[in-house]
Amino acid sequence: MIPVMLRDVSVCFGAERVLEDINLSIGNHEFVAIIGPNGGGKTTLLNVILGLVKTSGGIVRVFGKPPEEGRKFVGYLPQRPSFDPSFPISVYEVVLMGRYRRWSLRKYTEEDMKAVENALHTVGMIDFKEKSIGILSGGQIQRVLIARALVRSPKLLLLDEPTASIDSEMQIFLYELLRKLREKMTVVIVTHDIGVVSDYVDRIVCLNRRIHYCGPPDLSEIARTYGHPVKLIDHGAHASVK
Amino acid sequence: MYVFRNAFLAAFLISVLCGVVGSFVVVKRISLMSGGISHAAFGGIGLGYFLRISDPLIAAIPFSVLSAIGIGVLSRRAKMSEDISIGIFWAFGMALGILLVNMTPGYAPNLLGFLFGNILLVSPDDIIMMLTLDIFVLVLISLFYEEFLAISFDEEFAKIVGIRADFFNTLLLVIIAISIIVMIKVVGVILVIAMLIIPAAICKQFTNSMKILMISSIFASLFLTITGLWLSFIYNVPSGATIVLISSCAFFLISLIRC
Repeated sequence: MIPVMLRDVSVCFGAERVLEDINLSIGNHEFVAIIGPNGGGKTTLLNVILGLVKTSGGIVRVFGKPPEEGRKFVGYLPQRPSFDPSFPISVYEVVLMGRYRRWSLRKYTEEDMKAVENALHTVGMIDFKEKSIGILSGGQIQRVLIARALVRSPKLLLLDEPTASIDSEMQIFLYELLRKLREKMTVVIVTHDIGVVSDYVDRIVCLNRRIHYCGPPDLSEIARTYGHPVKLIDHGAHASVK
Repeated sequence: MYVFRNAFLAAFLISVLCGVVGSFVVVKRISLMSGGISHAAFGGIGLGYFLRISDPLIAAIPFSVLSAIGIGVLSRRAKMSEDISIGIFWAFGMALGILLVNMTPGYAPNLLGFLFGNILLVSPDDIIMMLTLDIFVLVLISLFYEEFLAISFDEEFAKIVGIRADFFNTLLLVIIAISIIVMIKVVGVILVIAMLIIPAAICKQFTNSMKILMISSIFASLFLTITGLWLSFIYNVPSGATIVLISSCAFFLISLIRC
């Protein structure tokens, strides 16, 4: 089953068209970066794959199923943590939530706990497992949330600007981690770091309401297809081209 | 002494809910919404008077549950900010209550008790009702603890792992509505919100575990309620207001020391 299949997908928020004529297939163990200007629909595209946004047309299939069913194979890292940092909860409990199953009487099994430990090991946060989520730095929270996505043993990992709020050392750690993870799963990342990401990914998708480019991370080719090379790199402070 | 036994039982029964349900109200930041539900409950009490039900609180149970569902659905569906629908429900319940009490011929006994509470007027029948509702709430929370924790912490992620967030949000509001009914006899419609949030707001400053927060808030609430009860008895002043004043002062004091 192909992880993501989008055919003629469009999304409207009220009268505004946010996504139009999106045709995209992402295969097993592919590592894909989605880039594009702010407001270009990158986060919306991830939400379409997750089934959190209703499409106004087209077909969405996640592992051959509608997104609401397919998302049990999907791990997701949101752009901004949508929780209150003062919430009384430990790192361990946050990650354990990723193992939630409906209608199970014994909520969490030993297997779940082992999975949490493994996920925290993978992101290098096992020493923090009893710590409160509120005392962590931005980069540490990011790693815990990646562990929460990984603990579900996803076949598809979606990351929305994971490097936006972390320092460059953490960025390298993160990309190296993703390089390892892609051997086990498909990875889709929304990012502004075109320069860095092109060393790692198989494919880059340039999105600004429509898909303007979809192919190997060949920067000059992207620039040509995109029309304006300046536009491509002018996303924000983090963007750079080597 | 008999009166005091009931008062202590009542203090214990409301403290359990202050701790368990109040913790969710505080961490989920829905104290305003809970305030709306408690004031809307007064409409149900007015309805109870109007229908001449011997305990108007019985009529307030379905009424509060329905208003909790109403506030939940309206604040989610309506294309305006949440505080607008809360504010409207808040006043709607009070207005309806006042009108219904006014339309009921004769004197409305205990009306002030429902508004401001009186722990010394809690009857054995009240205790039975409070106990039943306590058990009901505790069973629901323990059955769906993981779900409530997940929607309180991160609703978006809860949806992704397959939790029906809208359903559990509404169920939590219903649980809050029922808890408010339990607490009305002690602190009254107007002051009830204080007891629902103060113990948990105090204890949240000292813990990073939801379960410890719940348990410590139960004890904090028990201590504040009994201290207030004792002071109101010594100085012969209204118990509900004294309990709320003691609790608020404890909150101010501890927050000042902590900052």
